[in-house]
Amino acid sequence: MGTPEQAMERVAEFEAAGVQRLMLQDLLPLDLDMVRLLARTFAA
Amino acid sequence: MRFALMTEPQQGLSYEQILAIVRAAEESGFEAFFRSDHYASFPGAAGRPTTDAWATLAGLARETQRIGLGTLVSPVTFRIPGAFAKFATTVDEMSGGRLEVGLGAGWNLLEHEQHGIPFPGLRERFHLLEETLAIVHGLWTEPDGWGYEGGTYEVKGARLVPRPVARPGRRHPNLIMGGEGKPRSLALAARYADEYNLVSARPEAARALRSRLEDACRQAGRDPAEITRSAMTGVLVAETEGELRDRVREQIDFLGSDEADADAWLEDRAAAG
Repeated sequence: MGTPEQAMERVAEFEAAGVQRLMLQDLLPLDLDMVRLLARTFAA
Repeated sequence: MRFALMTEPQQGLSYEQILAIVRAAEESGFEAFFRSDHYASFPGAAGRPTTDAWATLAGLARETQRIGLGTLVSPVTFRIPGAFAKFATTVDEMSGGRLEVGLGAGWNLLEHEQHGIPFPGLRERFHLLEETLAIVHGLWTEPDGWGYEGGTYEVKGARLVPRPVARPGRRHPNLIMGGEGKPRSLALAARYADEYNLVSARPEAARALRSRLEDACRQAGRDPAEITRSAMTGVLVAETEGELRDRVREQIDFLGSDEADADAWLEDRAAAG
């Protein structure tokens, strides 16, 4: 949770723990701008 | 690291709303879209509209082109194993081989009571999970004529036609087990799963899971590298602090939380890591 940069720091912790794939649970799914931001941040 | 979008449509989403989300996810580059499989609405207000996960996945299979589609996870209490294997295989064909299948023991008593679906105790639900995994995996991978006797369900002279969409590196839909990394769950994953998904995950829990899953694989005689280690984690991102607070307020409203202050909510989550 936070800015894209903060979120990527958290992702790095998961990666260091051996996680190979993250399911990003979006509890504001109707906010399509956030879906697109998630994709730019993580999936690009 | 690979990323997929995970949603909880039992929050009141219609099929058209789910479709809009999946299209946005597909167009913006996500490799896969997962949805929960629940009939009762939560978190937040009770009584919101819900949809059947597999009916919506069948529609999404025909209205998208590239993105993977799946459930995280389908409770085995909702559907009997042979029928589940059949319609999952059908949705796989409808999607051109983009389906992923998550299975779990189920936990939400309310949605079972509200729909007249039997909800046995945890021990029996885990037994049903084991039988469902065995039958679905067996129907996908064993030759015609295969048989299975599990106590609750029996398969005689199996014949599943068509088989799942096959291509190099894929014999059947990715079979995902979700859970908290408890021993029985890991033992089943080691026998049947292609992926283990740790729910409500934190990095430290994921680190602990890795060694336990490797131990379970060794006991089952399976190479741990064959099972993808994944985790589900909540996300809320924004490009500025102001936008972040706006989204936190939206989420607080949507979840029906008693917490009215976005700043306090953010501080609590930051403190919790």
